[in-house]
Amino acid sequence: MFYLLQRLTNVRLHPSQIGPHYIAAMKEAVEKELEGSVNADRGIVLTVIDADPRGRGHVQDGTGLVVVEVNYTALAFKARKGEVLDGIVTEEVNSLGFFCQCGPLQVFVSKSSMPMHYQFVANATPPCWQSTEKKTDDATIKPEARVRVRIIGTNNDATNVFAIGSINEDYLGKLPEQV
Amino acid sequence: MDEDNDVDKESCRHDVVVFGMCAACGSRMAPLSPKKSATSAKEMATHSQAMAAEPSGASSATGDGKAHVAAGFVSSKKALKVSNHVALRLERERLFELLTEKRLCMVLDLDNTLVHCVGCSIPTPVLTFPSKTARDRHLHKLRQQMASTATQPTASGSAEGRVRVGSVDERLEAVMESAIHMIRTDAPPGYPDSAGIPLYLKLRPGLHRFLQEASLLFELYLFTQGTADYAAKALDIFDPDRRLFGQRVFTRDHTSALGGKSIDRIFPYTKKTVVVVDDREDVWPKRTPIIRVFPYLVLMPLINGNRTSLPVIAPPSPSLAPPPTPTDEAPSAKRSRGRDDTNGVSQPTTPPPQPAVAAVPSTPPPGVPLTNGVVDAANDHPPPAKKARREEEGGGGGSEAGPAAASAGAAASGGGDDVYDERDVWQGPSLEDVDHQLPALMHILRTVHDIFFRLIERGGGFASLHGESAETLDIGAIPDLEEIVKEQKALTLNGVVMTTTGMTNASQPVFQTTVLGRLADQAGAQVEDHLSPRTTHLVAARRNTRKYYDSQREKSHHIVHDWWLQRCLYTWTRVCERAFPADIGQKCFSQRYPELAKAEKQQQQQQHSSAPTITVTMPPTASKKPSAPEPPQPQPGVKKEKAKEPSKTPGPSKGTVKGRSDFVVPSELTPYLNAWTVDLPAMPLPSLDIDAAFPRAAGGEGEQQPQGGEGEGDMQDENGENGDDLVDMLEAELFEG
Repeated sequence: MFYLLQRLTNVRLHPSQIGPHYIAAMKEAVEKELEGSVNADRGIVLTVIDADPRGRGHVQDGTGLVVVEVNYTALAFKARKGEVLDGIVTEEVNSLGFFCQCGPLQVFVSKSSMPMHYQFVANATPPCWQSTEKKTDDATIKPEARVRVRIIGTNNDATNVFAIGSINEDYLGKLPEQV
Repeated sequence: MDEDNDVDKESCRHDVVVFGMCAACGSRMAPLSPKKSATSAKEMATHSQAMAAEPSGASSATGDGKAHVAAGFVSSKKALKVSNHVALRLERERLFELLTEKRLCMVLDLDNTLVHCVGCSIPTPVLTFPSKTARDRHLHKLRQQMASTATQPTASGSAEGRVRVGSVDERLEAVMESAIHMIRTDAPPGYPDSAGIPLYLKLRPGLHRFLQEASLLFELYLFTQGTADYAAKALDIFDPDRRLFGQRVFTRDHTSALGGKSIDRIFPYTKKTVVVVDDREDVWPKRTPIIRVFPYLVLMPLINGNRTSLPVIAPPSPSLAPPPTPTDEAPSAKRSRGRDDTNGVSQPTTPPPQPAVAAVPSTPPPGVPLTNGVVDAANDHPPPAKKARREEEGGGGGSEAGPAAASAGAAASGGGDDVYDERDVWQGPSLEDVDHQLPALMHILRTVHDIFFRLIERGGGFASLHGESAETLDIGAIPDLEEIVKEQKALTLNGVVMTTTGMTNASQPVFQTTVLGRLADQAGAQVEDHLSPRTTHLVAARRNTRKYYDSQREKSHHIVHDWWLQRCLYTWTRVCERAFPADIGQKCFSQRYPELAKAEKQQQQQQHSSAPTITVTMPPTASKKPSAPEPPQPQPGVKKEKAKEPSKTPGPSKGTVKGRSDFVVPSELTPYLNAWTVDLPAMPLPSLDIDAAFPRAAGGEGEQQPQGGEGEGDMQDENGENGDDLVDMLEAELFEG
C-alpha cells in the first residue's frame, strides 16, 4: 500500500550550499537521504514530494556544516499482510515456487501457496508452473508473466523489502496478458 | 509440502524459508546473519552422512536457521533455503530424474576454463553489443547473410586459417568464438565511466559445441568467482537464452568467506553424481572430483605490454594480405572497400572506387568516433577499413574466397533500407588459438559418463537402485563419480616412471609439489628425482641440463618435452612420445614464427656468452596507433626490447651444462605455443576395468592405485600402435618441408 509520509528529519548542508540555491540543495539532501531507504516502520520511501525547512539551520560544532530541520512529505510503500498486489514474475522460477516483483517488493510464492493443480515443468525453457486443469498460456506462470498475489508475510532489511505471497484463492494467480 | 497447505502456523513445519520467513505460513523465522547462513550449508554437509542415514531425524522444525540449507540444485537464489528433510527429498527427486534421463551433473568454472577474460584494454578491434536487442539484430543479420552465402565456400576464420564450412549455426558460432568480445559490467559507485567496466573476453575454441554435447550427458552448472553481473554478461555471449545453464549459475556471492568454491552449496548431501571442471584445484575442497583443464590464457600476450609479439595468424595489415588477384575478384574487392569508406552511409549503389583511399585503406577518415579501437558492431558508425580484416580473417586458405563471399553477401542484401553490410561481420584479428582442450575434455566426460552407467548396468541396471520412484531410490547403491574420476585418471600414466629436468624453479623447487607434479601423481605416474634403470620417461623442459645429457647417453627411456606431460595430463590419454621430442618447442617456434626464430638465433650467436637482454627485431604484427582500430600499419623498423630469461631455473645451477644450446618458449608466447600446438587427433582413453577397480561387494570403494591388470597393459600397447601411426601423420604434416 502507498502512504503519504509527513515527517521531520535533519539534513546537513555544506556552507557552499548556503546561498540562492539553499532550498534546492536542502531538497536534494533530503531526497538523497530518504529515497530508496527501507524502514520496518514506514516501509520503503519511493519519492520525496515536498520538503520545507523548519526554522533556521544551526552551524554544527566541529564540522562547520549547517544542520537544518526539514518537514518533508514523501510517498512510501509498505506491504501489509493480506494485501493483494499485482506483480511480474522474475527469472527465478523453480520447483519450490516462484519469485515476483511488485514494484519495489520482492515476493516469493511457494508451491504450498499455489492451487493444487499447478505443476512445475522443469523441462520447459524457461521452466514454468503450469496448471493441469487448463493448459492454456493463461495459466502458465513463467518469467515476465503478470500475477496477482496476496501477501501473507513481510520482512524488511536495510535495502530491500521482501514478502511471502499466495495465489491459492479465487481471482489470484496468473493475470491475462495485457492487450 | 502439500500436506501443510493450510496456513496454520502451529502445525506448519517451515520447510521452505525465504527472506527469513516461512514460505508457507509467512511467519518470521529467527534472523539469519549472512555469515551463519554461509556456513550452515557446510556444517550440514559435514553431518550429511548422518542425515542421509536418517532423514526423518531432521524433520523437527525449528526456528533456528541452521536447520535450513541452501539447495543450489533447486535455485541459486541465496535467500531461498529449505529444511534438511525437504532438501534430502528434493535431492532424491532430482537424482531420480537425472538418472532416468541418463544424465549426471557437471559444475563448470568460467574464467580460464570456458573463456579468458581480461580487464586491461586491448589494442585490437573487439566485438561488442550495446544491448541485447542490438545483439539479436546483429546476429539475425549475420545469420541471414550466412544463409545467403551458404552455397559459397565462405571463410569464417578459424584458428589455423582453415576454411570451415558448415551450417549457418556452426559458422555463426565460429565467428563468436574467434572474436574478442567486450562486455561491460555494472559500474560500481564512483566509477568514472557510467557505461560500466569494460572487460575483454574470448571464448575457448569449440565452446558452443562442447556445451551442447555436454548438456546431453550432464546437467550444467556454472560456478565462478566473478560477480553475478559478470557471469550474466559472459553467459549472454555463449548462452543468451540460458538454454544450457538456466538459473544454475553460482557466483562470488555463493562462495565461502575465503573465496573457496564448494559443491556443498549446490548439492548439500548427495555428491555422487557431480563432477567439477576447473583450471585450478585449490579453490575446491579436497575430495572433490575435479577434471582439471589447461588454463586458457589466450589474451595474455595482448595485455602484457608485449604487443609487437601479438601472434595474429593472418597479416593484420592490408598491405601484407595477399593482393587481390587481377581477375574478376579485383573489382568486387575494390567495391567492398569503397563501401567501407563511405563510412556508414547506407548506399545500395556502389560508389566509385576511390584510388587514394584504397591505396591507403588504413588511414582513419576524420570524424569517426573511435574509442580505444572498439568496433561497435551495432553502431551506425563502424570504423573503416574492416574490409582488410575480412580478407585477413580468411587466413591462408580462405583469403581467395573471402572478398567474393563478402561482396556476394552485400549484393544479396543490397536493396532496401535495412542493408546488411559486411562490416557487421566480425573482422578482428584471428588469434592463433591452438587450444584443443574442450574436445579432449568431452572425450573424458563421455568416458566417465559411460563408466558410471556401465556400473549401474553391472549392478543390475536401474531396477537394482529400487528406481521405481524417487522415494525408493537407493542412494547408497549409486556409483560414486569421484571414485570413477580418480580411477580413470590414474590409468593415464599407469606404469610410467618419470623424472624431470628443467621443470622446477626457485619458487617451486620440488617437482612433486608443482601443479604438473601433483597431476602426474594423480594420473598414476611414479615421479622419481633421479634417473634410474626403472625410468621410462625423462620429461625435459630444457635441454642444457646434466640430466638431459646423461639420459641421452643411456637411450633406455623416452626423452620427451614437458608438453607431452601436459598433453597427457589434460587429455587423460598417454599420447605418443615420439610426437613430443625434447626439441618440439623449438621446432614449433621456428616453424610458426620464422622471423622471430631467425632473429633470436642471430642474437644468440652474437651474444652467446652473457647479456640476458637481447634486442629482437620483430615482425610488426600488432604495433599500432592508439586511436586506430584498423589493422596496424607495417612498421618494419619497430624494435622490441625483449627480456629473455636465460632459463627457468635461478641461474646456471649445478645441473646445467654451460654453453650448450637451450630453448625455452618465450613466456609471452606460451598461450599460443603450448602443449596444444602439436595437432594430434583425439585418442580413446585407456579403458578402465570396472570389475577390478570397483569390486562388487565394496560398492565402489576402489583403491588409490589400480592394479596393473592384463587388460590395461594391452590397452597401452594399442595406444602405442596408434601413436606410431600418429607420428607418421604428424611428421608428414608438421616437420617435413
